[in-house]
Amino acid sequence: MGAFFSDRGLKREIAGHLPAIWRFGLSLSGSPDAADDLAQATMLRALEKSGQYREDGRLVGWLMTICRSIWLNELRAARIRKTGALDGAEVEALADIRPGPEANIFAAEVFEKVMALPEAQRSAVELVFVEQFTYSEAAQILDVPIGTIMSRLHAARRTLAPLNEAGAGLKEARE
Amino acid sequence: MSYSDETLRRYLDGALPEAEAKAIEADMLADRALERRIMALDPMAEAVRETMQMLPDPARLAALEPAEPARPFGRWAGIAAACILGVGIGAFGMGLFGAQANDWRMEVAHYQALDQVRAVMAAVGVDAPVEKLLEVEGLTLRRAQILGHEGAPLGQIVFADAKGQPVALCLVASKSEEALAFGERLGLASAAWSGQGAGWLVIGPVPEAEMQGHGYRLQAALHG
Repeated sequence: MGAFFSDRGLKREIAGHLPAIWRFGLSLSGSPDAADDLAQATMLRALEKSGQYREDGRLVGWLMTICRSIWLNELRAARIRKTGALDGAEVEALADIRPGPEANIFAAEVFEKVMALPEAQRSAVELVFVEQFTYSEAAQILDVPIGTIMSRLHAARRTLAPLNEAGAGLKEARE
Repeated sequence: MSYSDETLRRYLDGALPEAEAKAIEADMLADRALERRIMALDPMAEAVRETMQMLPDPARLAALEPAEPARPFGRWAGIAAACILGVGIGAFGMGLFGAQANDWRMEVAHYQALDQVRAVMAAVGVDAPVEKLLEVEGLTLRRAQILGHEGAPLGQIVFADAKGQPVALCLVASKSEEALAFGERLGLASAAWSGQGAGWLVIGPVPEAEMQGHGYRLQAALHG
């Protein structure tokens, strides 16, 4: 039956992963509000299903799988009906949460370019680049072959490549 | 097959012919170290990571109190009081057959208790594998009776734990489905859940950690 958790202990562990879950939700939906819903729903669902958690994998990977499942089975269809488009991110909401230049002069650009990626590439980028899952783990979470992850990342890198050059230029200017 | 950093960078840039790229991917599946190397060489990853990890604003997350599931203890407040009636919390009697005697008298007591449990389940209208209640680790079935609560039958099933402390399992008819949750009621550790036609409350003068075990094991015994 697997190990059992004290509700409170599991809640604390999950809370530690909430920022990553939120970011993943943002990468799936393109919407900060949807990311809020997904983070909340994932936490609740994980607590309900805690008896099913096998301690063989990583907790955070299990949480990501739950998040994706809620997105696909529950939220995604509702959001497409509401906004009429999926890849067109909610521009204003995103502008609200966009990192400012005080953090890093390119943060705003990086953020905009990443959020402009199509959902499939955006979620691969989020899992691999940001949360540092391995390609195989990301493939498992997104339920695609590893080759698909690689091609999505290739495509994303091509789109993001101009950032690299801009970043390199800045580095040189500083040195 | 070992690859130079240069080759791997070209792979990441999508600059390798398809056959070579596929070969690297195949190798990556078998070779975790190669996978990690490739990830470490990725020019894009760090920049994206640094930016995206600025989100979300911690205040935004803090505002996301996960919606509390319907608090079972709110509803259970009155029931908890009814549940511990007559159980002799704090001064548990030795029962009809004294201490844990492993002989025919214990077996008789068990079968009598099981009949009582069947009557209780029938009164509340619940279909559950009552025999499983004889096999719950750490709990010995003692007796069961039907009480009333707000005009409806309240079943009370009493166990003794390993130290002879009473642990009461109470049930009322309910259509809810609520996950197992733990909390304190009337100064006692308790566990509650609803499902399969009933709301269930476990309560007793035992430490919280032990109550969690009892809760999980009783739920498993009743619902499989």
